Amino acid sequence: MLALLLILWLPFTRGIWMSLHEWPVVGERTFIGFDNYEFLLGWDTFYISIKATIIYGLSTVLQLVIALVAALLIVNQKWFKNFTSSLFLLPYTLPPVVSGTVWLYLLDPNFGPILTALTDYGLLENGLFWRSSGDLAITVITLVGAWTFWPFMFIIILATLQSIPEEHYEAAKIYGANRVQRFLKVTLPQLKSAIIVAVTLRTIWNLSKVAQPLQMTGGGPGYDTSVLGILLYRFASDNGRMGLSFAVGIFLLLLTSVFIVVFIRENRRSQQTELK
Amino acid sequence: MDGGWIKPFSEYKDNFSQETLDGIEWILPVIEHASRMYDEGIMGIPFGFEPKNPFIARIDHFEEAGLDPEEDFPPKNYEHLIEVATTLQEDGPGEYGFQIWGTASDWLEVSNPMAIALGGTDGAFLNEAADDTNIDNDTWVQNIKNWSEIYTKHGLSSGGTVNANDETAVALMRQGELSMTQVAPANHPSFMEQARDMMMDGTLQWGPMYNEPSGQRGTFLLATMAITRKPEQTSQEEWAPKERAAVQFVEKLLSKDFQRSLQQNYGYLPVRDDVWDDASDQVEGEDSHHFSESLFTMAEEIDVAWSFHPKQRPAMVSPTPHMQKVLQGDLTPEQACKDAAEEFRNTIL
Repeated sequence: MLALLLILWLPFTRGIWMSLHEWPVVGERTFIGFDNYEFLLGWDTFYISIKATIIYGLSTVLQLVIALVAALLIVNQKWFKNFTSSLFLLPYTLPPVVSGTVWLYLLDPNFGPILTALTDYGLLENGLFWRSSGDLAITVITLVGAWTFWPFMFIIILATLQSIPEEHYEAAKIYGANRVQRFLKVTLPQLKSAIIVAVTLRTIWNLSKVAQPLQMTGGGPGYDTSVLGILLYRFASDNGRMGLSFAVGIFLLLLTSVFIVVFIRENRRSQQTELK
Repeated sequence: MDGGWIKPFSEYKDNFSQETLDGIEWILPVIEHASRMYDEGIMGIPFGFEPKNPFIARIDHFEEAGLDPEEDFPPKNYEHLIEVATTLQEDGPGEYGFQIWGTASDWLEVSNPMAIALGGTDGAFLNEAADDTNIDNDTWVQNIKNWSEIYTKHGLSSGGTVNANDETAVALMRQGELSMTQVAPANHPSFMEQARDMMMDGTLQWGPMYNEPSGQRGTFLLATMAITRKPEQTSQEEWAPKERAAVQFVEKLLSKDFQRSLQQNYGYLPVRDDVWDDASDQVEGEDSHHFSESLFTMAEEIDVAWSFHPKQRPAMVSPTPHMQKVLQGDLTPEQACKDAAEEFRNTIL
């Protein structure tokens, strides 16, 4: 309890206090009340950043779909199941900055194999300079984020799938349930808690990502891919405005909390339904 | 510096030999200007510097495009740059005549030298009082117009310009897609490693940044050392030998031997002008690619360096998103400069 107080709540409370100050890395600190919050709420860029964060956070949905399909495909596989699982886990074993570098190379319009091949075969008229377009850039970093982090959900879903007793499926078959019905009535209800836990954790982590998006686009073009984590990092690291940086952090916490509350409530409801 | 930890140069200047001080005398006014926000004067002692940014070009492209490398490289001013780059693109074998870079650390390394060549100290990022940005003054607005039009109007830079970084220059030039650009001198080792044959036979050559109309050939990145003041809790007896060692270390960095090897081993130009000839001799292939010659030519005509102000870096980096919007065609140079200045004043100062 003491450790939790020292390493979590104390810094967090101090952070809130910092956000009420003009707080440079070195130098005098000035109490400014809610000015940092007021500035952020009146700053157009802040809303661009929130939009980018939510879009990037949507990679959670993609991760869930890929993880679910992959887990269902291999759960009953008789041969090379461990080998296939290991292959699926590969993206998650790479540090995100490494996988970001790999994708930056693969998708480089001048030198990367994918886009140059598409251009060579005439499928693209000109090089696709995705880092120069806000819409394309946010799409690419979201997809690369999904590719990098989906195996986390895959592990959880596969483990849960393997724990569903075979008798449940046999009973369903006896009652004439087809494949789809067995998935909807047996598999999915038993996966629900696992999915909620996985989605909750990944949503929190995806919304607060900094390294890979920063590496791939630098937050640009303009501010189009400057997720809140990047904005927070820039205020702290580049500008030395720790108070303003923490104020961004508080908004990020609120945004994340919205999703967490929804998921926790859903999880509780699911557990209560199971008990009944 | 804000914390008062750095000891001003004037307080320990006498510890250096006259020969050392004579060697760095030429750059002290530049350092003084870069330290203009401090009442105590020079706060850091320079041991190396990097002029921002020289040109590099495929000289064979000049010949194939019917240009005379002796006359046309490096370009003499902005108008000449556009003229040469257009000819290179239209009549030469490359796809792009002159590449500019849009990422945070690279857009400024081309646009800032252009701004200083255009308006002298008005092209610096911080004003003379070092209490505000210059980014919305007339020089910068005109400069951003010039810089962005290389891509938006003249189409001389590649489609990825908005978020391009200068690390790709070597590959683009080696492949022959790009004829000319400006990159940081720190890229020289990459050129020597990845396009060695072209550097050694003079196919790729460096050239100094132009100096018209202001007479300034860009700006300096300074490599400096600073000595700190004694911490309060440390006794004078304990501190004195440490400070002597620090001074000796700086003296070592400024020794002729170390200075001669600085460019070859660390990429910075030696700050002591009495070793420049020796330093050039040590650079492999100098007669072909003219790396040192270009940088020393620039050094002789630069009076403005990136300052020691704590907000210097954010002043340079924070306008990036706005400048990218200009390249995308979403903002006019005037509006981008205004927005960048406003943001700097609101979020950084």
